[in-house]
Amino acid sequence: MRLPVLLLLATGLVVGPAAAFTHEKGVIRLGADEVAAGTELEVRGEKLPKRTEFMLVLRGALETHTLGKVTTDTLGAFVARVLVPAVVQPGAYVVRALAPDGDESARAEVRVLAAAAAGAATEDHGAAHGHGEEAEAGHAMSVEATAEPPDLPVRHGPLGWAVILGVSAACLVSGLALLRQARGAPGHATRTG
Amino acid sequence: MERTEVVEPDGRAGTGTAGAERVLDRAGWAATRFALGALRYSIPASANRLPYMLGGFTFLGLVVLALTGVWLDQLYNPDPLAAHASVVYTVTRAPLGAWVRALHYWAACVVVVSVVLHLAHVFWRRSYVAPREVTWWSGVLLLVLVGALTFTGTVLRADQEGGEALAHAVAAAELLGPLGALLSPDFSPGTSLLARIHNAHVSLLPLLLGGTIALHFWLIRHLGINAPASGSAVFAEHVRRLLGYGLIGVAALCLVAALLPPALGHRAVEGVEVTKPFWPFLWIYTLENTIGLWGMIVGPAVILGFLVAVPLLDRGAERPAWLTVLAAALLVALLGALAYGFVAPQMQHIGM
Repeated sequence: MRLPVLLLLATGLVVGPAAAFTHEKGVIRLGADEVAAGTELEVRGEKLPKRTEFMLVLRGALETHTLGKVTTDTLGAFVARVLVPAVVQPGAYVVRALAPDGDESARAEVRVLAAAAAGAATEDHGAAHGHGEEAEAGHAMSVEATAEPPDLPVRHGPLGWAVILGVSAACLVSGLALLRQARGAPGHATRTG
Repeated sequence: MERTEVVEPDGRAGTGTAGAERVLDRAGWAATRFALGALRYSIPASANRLPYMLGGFTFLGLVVLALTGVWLDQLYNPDPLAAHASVVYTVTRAPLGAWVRALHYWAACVVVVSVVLHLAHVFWRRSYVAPREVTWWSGVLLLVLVGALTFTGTVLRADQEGGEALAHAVAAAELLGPLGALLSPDFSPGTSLLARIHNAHVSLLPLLLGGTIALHFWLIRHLGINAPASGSAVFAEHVRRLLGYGLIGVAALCLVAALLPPALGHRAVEGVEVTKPFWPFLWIYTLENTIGLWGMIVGPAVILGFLVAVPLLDRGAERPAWLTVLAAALLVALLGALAYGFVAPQMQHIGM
């Protein structure tokens, strides 16, 4: 009897506040489905709460960038041109309009192209690839989405190999010594069966 | 001749001459100061067999992970824009960085395998029946924590596989609604999700893991090892054997890590799915291919639910046959899904 009541209470505690503060969904329309990092994007909002300030953010799983603040008019709409930061990495993102309490009121999907690749952006940018180049730790690496790993130069060097072999040998010798000690230890295991 | 008390490395007190047993005396000094004599309690002799050391091997693997993890964390930058570059730096330029990272990776693989084998062995031995239910549940919690550490570690690479793993976690969090709030980027708008995942990987989860291991060890110490009664042995000897085999294993790991470094993918491109997850999660990938995103919630929930329920379902003198059959069916399904995950077609799961 107690358990169901507790479960019900716990569910209510978790779901209740969330339901209470859920906003009605508005609509965001973007001027383009694709935008190059470092350029502007037109964002139109409608069916949102009237005369309310919203924070526009560009969200991906790894990165979230603030695009700016907008305020809806008496009809619950807004039009804004926001700058997509140049540091945004290529990929698929969501433009979100966040209410003052942080809840999402509207969203729209957008594909961000690399700033360098903007001029070369073509119609076939899509389904599964983002393009561009970046320099990482001195190694130029393509950021094309692929499961294939890049060819990173991994070299241990003579000193590195000496350390690796030394540690391996130390572990091996210590391990063998401990096993020998354990087998030679008198009277530690007294079997009765 | 001056007589002095000598305490042997394993904590036993004895007598000897001051000159002849200097080495032993030094070890005895440490044994006394660290109260190693407390390890000289009796355990079943059969507990010195390898299957009973799987938990210990898991612990040693976690120690290797902690040591290598501390080194890797000195080089890691949890900023989403810099994370991947810092891993590339670790692999290509940091002294022994590639090797330490590889050691971390292979130790994680060993821990995943040994913890699952340990759990299977404990299940087979029915070491979850009274009064060891909490020992079992703490072990299940350890399995969950190891899984969480493995997952967060995958994400930290910030390569395509890591980015997709994080995107899946975010999608799962959205499916779960308020229950998934912790994994939502909106939970803390001022801090990136990657930074919070990093925080979880290096502080929150290890703290929870340490506490749970302490509880697990405490319970094993006081409730005993559930092994066949075939005589008695001393726990200190068990530890010595465990360390012996463990160090030989570490030596092998060191060489494997040097010869077979794990891959690091390209920097993640957001919103794209072109990779498969780290192999311990391939069974979940299969489920996602079959029933969609809910597969990554339902699958682990079923396994976890079963594991938690085991001590409650088996309370008699013998394990019910249906429970054995159910466990075997789950294991076969899990291994089948894991194997299929390796060859399964790559699919888009998010937004489908």
